[in-house]
Amino acid sequence: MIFTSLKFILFISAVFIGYFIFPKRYRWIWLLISSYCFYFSASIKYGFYLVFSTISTYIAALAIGKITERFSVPPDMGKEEKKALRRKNDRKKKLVVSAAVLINFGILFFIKYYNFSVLSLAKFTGLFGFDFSPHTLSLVLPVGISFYTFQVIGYIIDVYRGVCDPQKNFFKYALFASYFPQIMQGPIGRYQDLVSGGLFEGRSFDYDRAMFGLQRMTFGFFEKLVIADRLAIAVNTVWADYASYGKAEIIFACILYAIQIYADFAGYMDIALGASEVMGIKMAENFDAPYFAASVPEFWRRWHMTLGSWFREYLFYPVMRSGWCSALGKKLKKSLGKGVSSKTTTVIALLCVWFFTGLWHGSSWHYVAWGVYYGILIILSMLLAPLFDKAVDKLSLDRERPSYKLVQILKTFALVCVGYVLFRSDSLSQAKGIFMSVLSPAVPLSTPLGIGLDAKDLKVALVAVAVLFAVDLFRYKKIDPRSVISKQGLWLRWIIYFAFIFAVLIYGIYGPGYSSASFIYFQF
Amino acid sequence: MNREEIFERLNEVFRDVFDDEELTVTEDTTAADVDGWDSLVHITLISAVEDEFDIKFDMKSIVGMKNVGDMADIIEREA
Repeated sequence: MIFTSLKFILFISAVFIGYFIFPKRYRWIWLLISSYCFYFSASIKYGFYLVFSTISTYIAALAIGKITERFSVPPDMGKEEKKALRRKNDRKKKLVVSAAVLINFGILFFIKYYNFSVLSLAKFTGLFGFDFSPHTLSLVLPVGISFYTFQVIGYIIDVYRGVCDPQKNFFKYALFASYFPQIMQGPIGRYQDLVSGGLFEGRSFDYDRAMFGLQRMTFGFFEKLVIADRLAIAVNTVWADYASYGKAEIIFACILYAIQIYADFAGYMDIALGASEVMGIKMAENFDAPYFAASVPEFWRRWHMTLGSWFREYLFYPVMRSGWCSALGKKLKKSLGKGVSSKTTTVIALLCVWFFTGLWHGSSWHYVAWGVYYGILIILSMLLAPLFDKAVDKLSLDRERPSYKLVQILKTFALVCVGYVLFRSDSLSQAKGIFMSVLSPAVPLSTPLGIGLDAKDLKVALVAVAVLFAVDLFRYKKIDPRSVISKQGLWLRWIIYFAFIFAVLIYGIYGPGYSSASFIYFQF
Repeated sequence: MNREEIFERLNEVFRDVFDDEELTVTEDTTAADVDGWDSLVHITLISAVEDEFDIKFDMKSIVGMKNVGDMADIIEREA
């Protein structure tokens, strides 16, 4: 059930009505029923993967909780014996968490990466003359599996670390794993955040909050239907036949794709977070005006934030704190000094994180290349920061000047657009072809070929993108545009609300029966 | 070790890691208050504090610290 479909509008209306009709203490049960209806409506077969992940992590978390509860140290025990006892207890917990993580990652790996792995292996061994024809399987990727698997694994690791207590009520835990606004595309929620956000509370109806939620949903529809799906027409046209286009059209298509993917993904988030807000449930934010970032590391603190923090807390930190990384760090510290030691271990951990960030997006080498591209950019920005600072000081550039900041923002946006060539392409060879078209002197600057959008569509896109830019500027300044609108007079307020609703209805890109294109992140 | 001593030594570590001789941290200092304190530097800082006080932070503490005061609490408990 796509968010931008009539079916979803009917579904969410029924969920809202049912939610506030149900007695407060049972509202979470209504949400669980709704979430399972939502997910199982995609496919019953997919649902079993979700049920298995839910059961396995629920049991593992309870087992870790039991091990922790039962652990006690006799008061007369010596310091060393206490330490040994603690270590033994930790080993037990580690065994349980490792099994749960391995099983759940195993399922994700098998379904998402089995074919990719065997085909890549065959290609690799073929380079050395060892040819074999791999046995591939026809596996269908359940929607949202990358998102909910990361969410439940984050939970089990948090229970292991003692960051949160295990949820004893299976059905409440099942709601955490399947909560419908986030199961298909995130945000990848943390258990303790969703609990404090009111997932199980059943908060009372609040008119202002509900209005804010509905406004956010409307803006999400606007981003997806008016902007993303309109720009997609131009992007798809140029990408499908890039060899026929000039440099200017290709670069323009890259910029349009940057806006398209943001409007698509952030639009989904606005619908998800807005729907949740109507019911008084706070979910984690996934975007914070990312295209206003003045550096690539800052971009990643503003873009797909929940995935970034997942990789930071469950991969980057553990790699940096691992025994082998610490041992390497100590060795390098002795021979080459503190600076080299900490930078080397950070570089290794970063490459690891960005390789897997790329791979998470899909089983294809162009995603891996995209991830590694960011890894290299972030490593370079870390290593070259002292040189850059010196250059800025030497040239007496004022970092606080708006023009300086604007140049940094544009530089970051350009680097992000280069990355999108790797991301949007179907393969590495297509990405290479697009890069060559932009760089090759044989390709003309421009061609008379159209890019699939007529003058009217371009005008609509321009106005809509300007609105998105203005909204993001507010968000960048930490001002909620909805609060600004709510302070306006009654007439102006409602004119703005209806302008958005009519913009979605009139200028949205719809297929047959008012259905729309799928969201980009559905495939992940 | 009292709180004052902990902060004296912590300030030395912070100045060294952030390469800023004028940097002074207090109980309420957060990552947002110190230029360059991001997730990459955070883990380097944690290792430097561990070396200085001969302690080991667990992952719960590393991800849960809200400010330098929280860090000092753990040092006070563990050292």
